[in-house]
Amino acid sequence: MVIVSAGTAFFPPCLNGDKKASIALKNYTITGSQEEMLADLTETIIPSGDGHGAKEEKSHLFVLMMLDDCSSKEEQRKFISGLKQFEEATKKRFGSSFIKCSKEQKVQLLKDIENKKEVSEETIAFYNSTKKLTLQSYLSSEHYLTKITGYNILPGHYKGCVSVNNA
Amino acid sequence: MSDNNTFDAIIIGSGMSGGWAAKEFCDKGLRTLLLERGRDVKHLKDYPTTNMKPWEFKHRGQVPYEIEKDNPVVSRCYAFREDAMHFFVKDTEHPYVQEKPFDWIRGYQVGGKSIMWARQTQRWSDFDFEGPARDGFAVDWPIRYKDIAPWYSYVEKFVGISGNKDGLPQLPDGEFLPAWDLNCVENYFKDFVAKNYKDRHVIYARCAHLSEPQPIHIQQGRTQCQARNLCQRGCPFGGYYNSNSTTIPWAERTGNLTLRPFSVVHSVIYDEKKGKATGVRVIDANTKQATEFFAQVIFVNAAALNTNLILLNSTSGRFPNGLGNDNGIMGKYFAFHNYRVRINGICEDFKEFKTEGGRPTSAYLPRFRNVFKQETDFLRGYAAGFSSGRGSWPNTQGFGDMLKQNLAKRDLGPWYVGSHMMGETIPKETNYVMPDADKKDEWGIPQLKISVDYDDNDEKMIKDFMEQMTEMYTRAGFKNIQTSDSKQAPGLDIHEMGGVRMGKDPKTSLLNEWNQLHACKNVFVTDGACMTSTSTQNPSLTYMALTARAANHAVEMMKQGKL
Repeated sequence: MVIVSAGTAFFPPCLNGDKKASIALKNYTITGSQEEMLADLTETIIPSGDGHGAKEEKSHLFVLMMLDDCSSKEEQRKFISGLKQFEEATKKRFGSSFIKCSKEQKVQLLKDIENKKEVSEETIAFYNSTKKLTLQSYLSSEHYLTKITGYNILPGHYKGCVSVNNA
Repeated sequence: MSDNNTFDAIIIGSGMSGGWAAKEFCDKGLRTLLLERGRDVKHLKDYPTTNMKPWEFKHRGQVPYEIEKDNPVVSRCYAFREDAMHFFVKDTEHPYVQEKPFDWIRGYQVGGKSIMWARQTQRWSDFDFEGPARDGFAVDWPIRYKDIAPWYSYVEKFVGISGNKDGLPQLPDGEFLPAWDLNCVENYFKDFVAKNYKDRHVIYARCAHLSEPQPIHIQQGRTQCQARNLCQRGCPFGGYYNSNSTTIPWAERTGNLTLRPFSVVHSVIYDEKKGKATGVRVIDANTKQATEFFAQVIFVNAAALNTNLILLNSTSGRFPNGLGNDNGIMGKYFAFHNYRVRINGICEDFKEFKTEGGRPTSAYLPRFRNVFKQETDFLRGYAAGFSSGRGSWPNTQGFGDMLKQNLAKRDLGPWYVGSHMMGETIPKETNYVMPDADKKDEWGIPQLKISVDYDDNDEKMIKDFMEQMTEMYTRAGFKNIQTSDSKQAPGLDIHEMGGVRMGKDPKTSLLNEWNQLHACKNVFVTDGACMTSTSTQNPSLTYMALTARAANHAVEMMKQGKL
């Protein structure tokens, strides 16, 4: 189901008194509050927990940059449209924007999206793109590769058959 | 003569084979001009991404959308990624005419594609050189294994090849540095195949890496391969062979080399009175200014397709259809390797083992079809890569703390197994390249028109590869076996060959047994263009050996005043 309110269609974001986004984009625009919402969403997907997650990685900026540089115009359009529908669905359901929702409300919302329960296709696509890029940002980060996978640019050797118990 | 434009030898192209011609000529004291159409790339200095970590790439390795959209051909190449895309020609920069789809992958810089090559170095045998004569296609090679064997050794010692002595007549042993390990599953499959199949073998794939540098390699300024597997960026250790780290600086140190980047060769100049070639016409890549350079001997090593283009564009009263092209077959009988098929699966055993570290190669199945006798309804056969390993892909379901915990778990998955097909294709007159009649490039040179396609023999071979490999995988107990045919266009194999083939008879070939044009003996072609047939092995090692052999012959002839 696609819901577009007349208001958002007629007024460009700046006329709503919204802040500017912190990142310069070439191919599409978002508002400061949309950026904040995206940051909150990426942090909900990969929380800081032990001290390093999407927040520390600034994953939301990676999401926006990758969408700008490595996606088609159509993918960008869908993403922005999905982002707006995500916000509207949140407001309709909890009466407040995503960042003002309680942790429980956020969890309920994302669970419903993951289970494709009463959410529009573009909302799901927006969430999936955000999650995919947030994962990419985190899984290829210095923190993850050095602290968790033991990445080494210089292996220097190869052993073809060692016990799995070898560290 | 002592003017600045006259040399003893001119080499067109500084890649895999051109670098070898430069080294040989400079070592023998010839004043040598090495022409390169692209920019200079100095070893170590011009490898901007070589030490970058994954997180240091803005797009984490991905090619930006606009570049990919504007350059669909090069974007299909596995190595065209954020870390090495600066070494590849973009479609938009150098257009060509595809009469039939052909993915032309190019590297226009000093070192050419030797910077980004896959570094596999398997020798040919007489089962390859005798193939056309035995099976009745193309023309007979004018050489046999014994003619090239000492030059394989000569090149291998200098380049540094890691390998095992396998004792197989269809894949002769060479001068090897130690091999890296095959892993548990590769060794299991090797033993399984040896026990269950007559004349089928799984071996360690020989590669151009310094597993144990010898004094000659230290002298070149290269050192031990660190198994980084980031070779396409250029190696800070000189751990694998490219022209930039090895042959070109070696040639420069003799004081005999003039390296001239940004030199687009328009054509070879033929002097009708002298009855030989006297030099080359060069267009400056940047200023478009034309200049002529002169020499006694000219080596054309522009890579297979551009070598065809340069010679076909070298027209004169004596050679109206291209230099040396009296029989009209130049550009024809063009061939490649059939890389369309992959087979993947998993091995559920060896769960208590894993691999550690990295290695720059894998295992290899030399051709087993139609080797000793014709046994199928198609000609020739295929080799195959074989590799195995274990990944640890985290579970990415869900979100929040549970996702975070799952990402921190590094449980090993099963061993994957995979092979890719490397099929010999049959050179045919109908597979040809020629200068386009209308379209020209920025330098006033006709664009190359390419008309190359698969045939029925290739389709039968694909079917056989799928059947045989599926049977071998199934009998070996591998699971989830899946074959896939990418249907990729010819060219993406980056093993394009032929058009200026070697042969015994000037009526049916263009080059003699020393890679000299039959009709213009001081012009030599020793890159992929010279290949009479394609075999299944990765061809670079053979180009290098043919080049060293031909260059030494040229020097000998010059000494005797015969060129």
